[in-house]
Amino acid sequence: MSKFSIKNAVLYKDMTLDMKKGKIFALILVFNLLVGLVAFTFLGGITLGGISSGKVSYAVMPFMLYTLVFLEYGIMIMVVPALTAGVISLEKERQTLEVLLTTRLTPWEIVWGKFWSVINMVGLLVLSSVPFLALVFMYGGINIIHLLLIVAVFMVITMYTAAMGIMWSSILKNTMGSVIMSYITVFFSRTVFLSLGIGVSGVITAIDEAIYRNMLGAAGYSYYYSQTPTGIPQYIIPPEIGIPFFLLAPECTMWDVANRMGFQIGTWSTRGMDFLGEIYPHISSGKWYWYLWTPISVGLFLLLTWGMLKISAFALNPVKKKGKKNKKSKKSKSK
Amino acid sequence: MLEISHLYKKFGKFVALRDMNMKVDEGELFGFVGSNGAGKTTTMRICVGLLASDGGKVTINGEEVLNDHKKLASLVGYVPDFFGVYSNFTCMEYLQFFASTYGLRGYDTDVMCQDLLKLVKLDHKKDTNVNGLSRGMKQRLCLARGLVHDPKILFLDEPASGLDPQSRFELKEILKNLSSYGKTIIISSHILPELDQMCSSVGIINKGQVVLQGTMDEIHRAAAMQSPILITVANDQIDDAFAVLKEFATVQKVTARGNILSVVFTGTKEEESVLLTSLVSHNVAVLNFYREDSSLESLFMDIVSGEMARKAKEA
Ligand SMILES: Nc1ncnc2c1ncn2[C@@H]1O[C@H](COP(=O)(O)OP(=O)(O)OP(=O)(O)O)[C@@H](O)[C@H]1O
Ligand SMILES: [Mg+2]
Repeated sequence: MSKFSIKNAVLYKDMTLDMKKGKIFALILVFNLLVGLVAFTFLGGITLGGISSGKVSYAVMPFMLYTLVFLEYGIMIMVVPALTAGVISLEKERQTLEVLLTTRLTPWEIVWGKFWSVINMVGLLVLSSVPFLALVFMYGGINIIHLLLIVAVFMVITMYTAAMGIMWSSILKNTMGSVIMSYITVFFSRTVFLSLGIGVSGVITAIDEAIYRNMLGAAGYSYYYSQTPTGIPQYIIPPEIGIPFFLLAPECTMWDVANRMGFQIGTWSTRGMDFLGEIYPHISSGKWYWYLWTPISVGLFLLLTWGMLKISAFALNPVKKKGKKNKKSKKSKSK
Repeated sequence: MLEISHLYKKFGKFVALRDMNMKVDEGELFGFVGSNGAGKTTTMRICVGLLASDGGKVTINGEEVLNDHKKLASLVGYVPDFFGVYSNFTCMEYLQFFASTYGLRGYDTDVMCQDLLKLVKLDHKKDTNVNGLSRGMKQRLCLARGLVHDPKILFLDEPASGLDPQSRFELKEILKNLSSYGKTIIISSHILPELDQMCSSVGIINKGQVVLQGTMDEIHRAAAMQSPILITVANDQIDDAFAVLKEFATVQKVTARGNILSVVFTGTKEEESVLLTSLVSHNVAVLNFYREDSSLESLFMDIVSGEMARKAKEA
């Protein structure tokens, strides 16, 4: 299917329209001013530190990358709902959607076109800022493949965010409501899963710890993480129960991929999300499955994105086939 | 060409279309007349796939099309009773965009769009923003949009509303022109006489049902039938005339005012002439024999109010 290409009429229209308005170029300018400011602040700090101490603190470089990635991530959260919440509801308000629906375009093609026009726009923004991210290369420690991987994961999370706005835009009749609901949903999806992860893991850890220490008796308090007395179960409730919530928190995925090469502070070193193993006493770090964090959560986000786009297309379909037909056939049968 | 049979549509408890039946032949310029809320827009929206029906079927060239979006979309064009324009497009871009939604692009398409603009007399506004068009121009642009994919049937929902007489006339000319190329056009209106010089056939819809359908000639005849035949006879022959008229089963009622007899007659034109010859052959001196010219508007009003009375009786 050619859905991916510019053959999609809606995508084609939106891309050319936005180009005409010059909106995208203004956005690129503002975006890069922000990212550039932060990047050069870091570089300035490193340089000044180098001049005064005679040493360049390479250890700061990964943090420059994290900061830039999360800065872009934060901007994306603010911008994407605004870019998506109106895409379909505005067509409703202008009454052009009805006209579009009578053309050969299917509701899915309309949604798909709108989706990609936003993704392309954000993609252009992110790509335009890659030179700043690439400044990290000056000091090594990261390769181009890793950087591209970060951008790719970033775009997946952008899709997940964009799908929320498009979904509300399709379901609701007016843009105002869609904008409000989109921001609420986006902020909710950022905080709820992270909070649930922390909360659930915290409670489980507390219970497991209490039972574990209790079993060890008086001696319990002299043992610490490094020592494992034999014959006593480490935990009663599986401590990994909280992890799936973290998997759905985009910040964790972003962190996991940005921190894939790991970093070290003193004797403590961590890599991606496996620092959860460092935080919670009954979860162990260094296990193989920590390496699957990004692929699994990216898979989940893509699945959710696809689901929300399907809901959007369903909401737009004026002649909802399956539901109506079943009802009708049931009715006529009962007659 | 287009056949609507047993179409139902409910909005909640309200039945907007009740066992609607209508047939439009190929190449017809079909007038679809009804008062506000009769169900014209509802019917059209079902036919172009913007609304799900609650029963019945719609066939185009014998094929049931409502379940096949792509097929339906390529067969029908729809010009709704609103514009639906992108204000930041020029006329040409607007048409090009809608052509692209049907997968049409490139040089040939551009030429086709220009031809369409010429057809709707907007070629001088090719590069004007849609915002800068008058109401009549927008209406014509939307008509051109409905034609970009060369549909078999074009649905126009009250295209003349809000247009001044001049624009109405221009629109009529364009539609007649289109019709002469053989396109099937269905055009809805509140006003039956307005369609008189334009349409080849009409269907009159009232309360979600087509109550009268036929060619324009048939409708005119039906309108004529509505009014009584007025026969003026010599003063002393009124009773003779009564006697002759009573013989006819098609004569429903005869009333006299002076020497003018008012005859409610349900027969055809031919039977009308038989009536006259019969009077003459019975030696009745017929001084005048004519049917009052009943307007289409009064026919329409009669149908609508008659239906209302019938419904009231049923209820
Ligand atoms: N979405 C809807 N929800 C509820 N009722 C509706 C809806 N659309 C139409 N109706 C009702 O169905 C009936 C037919 O409406 P429709 O728009 O088809 O009439 P119409 O013949 O086009 O009238 P008009 O000349 O005013 O355009 C009306 O009584 C209207 O109130
Ligand atoms: Mg209407």
